[in-house]
Amino acid sequence: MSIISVNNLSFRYSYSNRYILKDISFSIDETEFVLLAGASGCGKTTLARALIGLIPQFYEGEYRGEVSILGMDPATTPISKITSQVGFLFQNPENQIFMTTVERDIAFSLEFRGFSREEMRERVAWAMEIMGISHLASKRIEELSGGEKQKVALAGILALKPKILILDEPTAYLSPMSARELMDMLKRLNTELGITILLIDHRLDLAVEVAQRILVMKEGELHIDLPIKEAFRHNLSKEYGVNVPTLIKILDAIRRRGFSLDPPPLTVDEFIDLIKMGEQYDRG
Amino acid sequence: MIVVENLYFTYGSQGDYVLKDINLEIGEGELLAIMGDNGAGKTTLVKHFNGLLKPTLGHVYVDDIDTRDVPVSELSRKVGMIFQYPEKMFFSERVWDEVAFALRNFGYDESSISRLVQKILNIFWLWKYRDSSPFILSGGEQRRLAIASVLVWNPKYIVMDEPTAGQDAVQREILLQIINMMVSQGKTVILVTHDVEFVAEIRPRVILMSNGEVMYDGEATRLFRNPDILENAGLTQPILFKLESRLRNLGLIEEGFNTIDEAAKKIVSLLGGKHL
Amino acid sequence: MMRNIHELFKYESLNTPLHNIDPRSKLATIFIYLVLTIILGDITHLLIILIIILVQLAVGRALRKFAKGLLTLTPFLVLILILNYLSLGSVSASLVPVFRFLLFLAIMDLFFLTTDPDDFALTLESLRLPLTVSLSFSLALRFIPTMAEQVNEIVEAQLSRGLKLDQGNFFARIKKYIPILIPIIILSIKRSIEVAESLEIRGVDPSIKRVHYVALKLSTKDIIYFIINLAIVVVVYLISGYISSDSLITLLHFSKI
Repeated sequence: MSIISVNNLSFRYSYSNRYILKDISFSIDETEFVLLAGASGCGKTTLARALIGLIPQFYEGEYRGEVSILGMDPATTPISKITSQVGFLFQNPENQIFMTTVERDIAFSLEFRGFSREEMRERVAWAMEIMGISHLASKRIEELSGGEKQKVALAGILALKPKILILDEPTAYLSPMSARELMDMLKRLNTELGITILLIDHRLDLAVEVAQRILVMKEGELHIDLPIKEAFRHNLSKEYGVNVPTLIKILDAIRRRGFSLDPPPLTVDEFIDLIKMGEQYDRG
Repeated sequence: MIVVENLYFTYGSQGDYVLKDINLEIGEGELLAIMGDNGAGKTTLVKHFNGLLKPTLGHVYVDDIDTRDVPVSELSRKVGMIFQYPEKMFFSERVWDEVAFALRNFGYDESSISRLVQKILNIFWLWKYRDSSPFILSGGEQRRLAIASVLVWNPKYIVMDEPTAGQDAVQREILLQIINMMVSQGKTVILVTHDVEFVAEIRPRVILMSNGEVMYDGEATRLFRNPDILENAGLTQPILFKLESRLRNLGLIEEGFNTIDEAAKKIVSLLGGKHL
Repeated sequence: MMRNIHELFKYESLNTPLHNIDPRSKLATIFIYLVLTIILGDITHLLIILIIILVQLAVGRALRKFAKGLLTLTPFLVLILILNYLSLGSVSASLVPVFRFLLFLAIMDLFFLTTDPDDFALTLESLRLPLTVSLSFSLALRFIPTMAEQVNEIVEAQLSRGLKLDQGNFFARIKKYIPILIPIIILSIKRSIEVAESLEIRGVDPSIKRVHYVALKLSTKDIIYFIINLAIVVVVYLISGYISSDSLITLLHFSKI
């Protein structure tokens, strides 16, 4: 059942005469893990803002089309109501942490939502546990690394037990290890808690391992909407400005030699399995 | 040549050293990547090259000048620093002035300034924006402008801090071209990065840092075949080499591969010509 | 350089008796000390208050930080001294404003070095200040380290482009701060937009009654702390009528004989 649906959405910020979103339509089903990619400035962030009501409520402009998220209309529903069920993580965790200690900041998301103190405690403890940051509870924010700040910000969102999670380039500031950890975490949230995930990223090397479907935007239009394996039957990089994972580049090189691996393996493990299968096939 | 001798550094008067006993020689015309996890001390190290930081103990020499003896403004003529997200430092009304800023600080005469600014803006495809505000440029153009406003004074050494952070494929491609251009002009290029895939693409000499110490100094390829050192330093093995290690461990290949094409060739021969 | 200035006012979470005092009690306490500092104009009296505050700072393990802050501000203190000396012509009279300033710093440190900024915000809210005010305060405190880091980054970037901050006359120097100030202003505006977006998303709503995760609790020890300090203040005020620097000097003079 689709819990996000976007129909013919177009948007132009009031300060500009250029449309950033042009006639976008797609829908996302419950418990899907969707990757949204595209070059810088293609409109990814604007689209995400439109899903939670920042557009057109916080950013004004010309807005056409219809959006529905969990049955709510982001154009008219209060943002705080949407975000009690739809978590949104910004690129820079620094600017979404408001309190000076970890535990209090995670609790901050709950303080305006009518929870009792008892319930807050439970939820904060639960969110820290899931993110594996219980040991940081009383740490001061400025003592944390970038990766840890990201986890705190994410825990603050999880404490609300959202059904959907939207993340805007969450790995941009992270080291490769922290980025991988974050991806593994998202995968767990998706499979174990059934949270629907929309991940915006142009660092695809890690994201393709966890996502099921990819949307690719170019100059405000939605060009590709495919299961992730199918998307990589074509060369994505040149045209769309996305950073193609090395594994896909190897696949392309194999393809140029007249071979195709189908369905394309997206992780090293899948690649090895495929090669092993080929070996057996050869011997048998 | 940049020489680092027994360098120790701490921000406080006492307390932990952020850099511990660093010894390095960076030759002229070298392409070098200083790698490591966030907080490993990479940026702290390179800030010593133009004198923004002075050693607590030990010495840093740039062309035989002890960085302790000269101000940042003088060392910067030799060592150009391009910080992470360099477009943050823009302040001029016009692109032209942004690029001319450093030249004015260094005391160039107006005719040289015009000549150098025009030249660099042309190289970076920004001449048409010379009278525009730097703030109206696109992200990619802003990044190019930031790089141009350092390269304009023709520093011999260029340090780029996390140049690939937040960059899409097109911008990465341009960055590669700029690096190649600088190397072909005989400049020493020092990249500070944790982006293993990017370094795997260019294979420079790598200095790997962890907790303020140098863990490895040598060829990129050899380092990438050693996942243990990488992981101890908080980095991951580049995919190409991860695939190679796995195939080697399974006994499927004997010799390794160095490039994507070599990998493809090996794999095709492994598949024995069968179409799957 | 400017890098570490904010460190001098930074709260450190320690477990000292002073850290455990309710911030409202501390706020009331520093208020009466500030009033006393303004009322009293004699060096001896100010010295007595200073000693009392220093003892408390020592209890809160904040003495070292206070001393460091003082060291950084020494040129400023000397400047106050010289300016006052030029206008008043007496060293002892010029020392009074210097001591006042010193005390002011010590009293502020007594509160801010031992009080969690989040608790400070709670205190403001408990004083019935509107959410926008208390939230602004707590956000300001939260972002001081971030801003300081950012200022540092920009200074370093511009120095690396050959900017020489310490050359030229006064006006030339002021002008040199433009390449630093403009990026800081632009980045602050960008940050404020992002923070505003974030506030929306995190559900901040002044019309909803906020339930605090941590509540301030006033206990007997907090009340006793305030009463003791009130007693000290009253006693110091009362003796100030009898003892002054002049009488002390006379006393010293007699004791020599």
